Amino acid sequence: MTPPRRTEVRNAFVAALAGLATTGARVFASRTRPLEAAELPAILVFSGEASPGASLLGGRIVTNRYRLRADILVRDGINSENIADKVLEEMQAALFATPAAMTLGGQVKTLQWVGSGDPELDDSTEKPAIRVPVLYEVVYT
Amino acid sequence: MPTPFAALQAQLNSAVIEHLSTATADFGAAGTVDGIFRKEYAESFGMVAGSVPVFESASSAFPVLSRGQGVSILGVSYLVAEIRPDGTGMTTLILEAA
Repeated sequence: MTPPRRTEVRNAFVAALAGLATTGARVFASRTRPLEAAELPAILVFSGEASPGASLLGGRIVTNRYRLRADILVRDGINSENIADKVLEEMQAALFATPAAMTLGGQVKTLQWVGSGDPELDDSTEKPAIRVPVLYEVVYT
Repeated sequence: MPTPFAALQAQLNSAVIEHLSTATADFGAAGTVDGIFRKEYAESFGMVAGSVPVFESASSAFPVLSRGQGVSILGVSYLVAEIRPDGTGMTTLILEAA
């Protein structure tokens, strides 16, 4: 059975981010269980809002807009924000290096970087962590 | 002026440390302090598992403390992240991984 298009798009997005130099295979989609501190740095991918992109006369939707949020998580330390910057740079390189990458291997019509949020620090544990949320928007049919 | 409650408070603090201590904090050349050590589970952002090590003892038992100071408890090295006196003669140290 073919998975829903959103699932295919999300999986392609996760696959594009897997294997980066800094985060390696530590890219997780829709994860609900906590990571261990030893698993950082990592990228957590979550679904964002979705909306119709364009529709034909008669109301049939032909494109969809879908936001994907990729949280960069890094353990706090002297270079933590620098590491987060490096991960972000690697993400951008992986997603926008080639025309094929910009369509997530043909899964989407367009991929756009919406922006990244303020770095957040959480010192609730003995190994504080930094999170940088990064938003992307794709259009797919 | 007699302060019977203050005396009782000091007596209680001493009894707590004497009977409920679970570890000795080693501050190196500054000495050692017996106290109550806890390391409860906690999470950052609700997504990164970890723990919060804390050490509590009589305020008067600690050497002069500063943030970032090293301490060894149960063979593990920590740094003092926060110093929290409770105002009744006890102080809690919030620790982070060294």
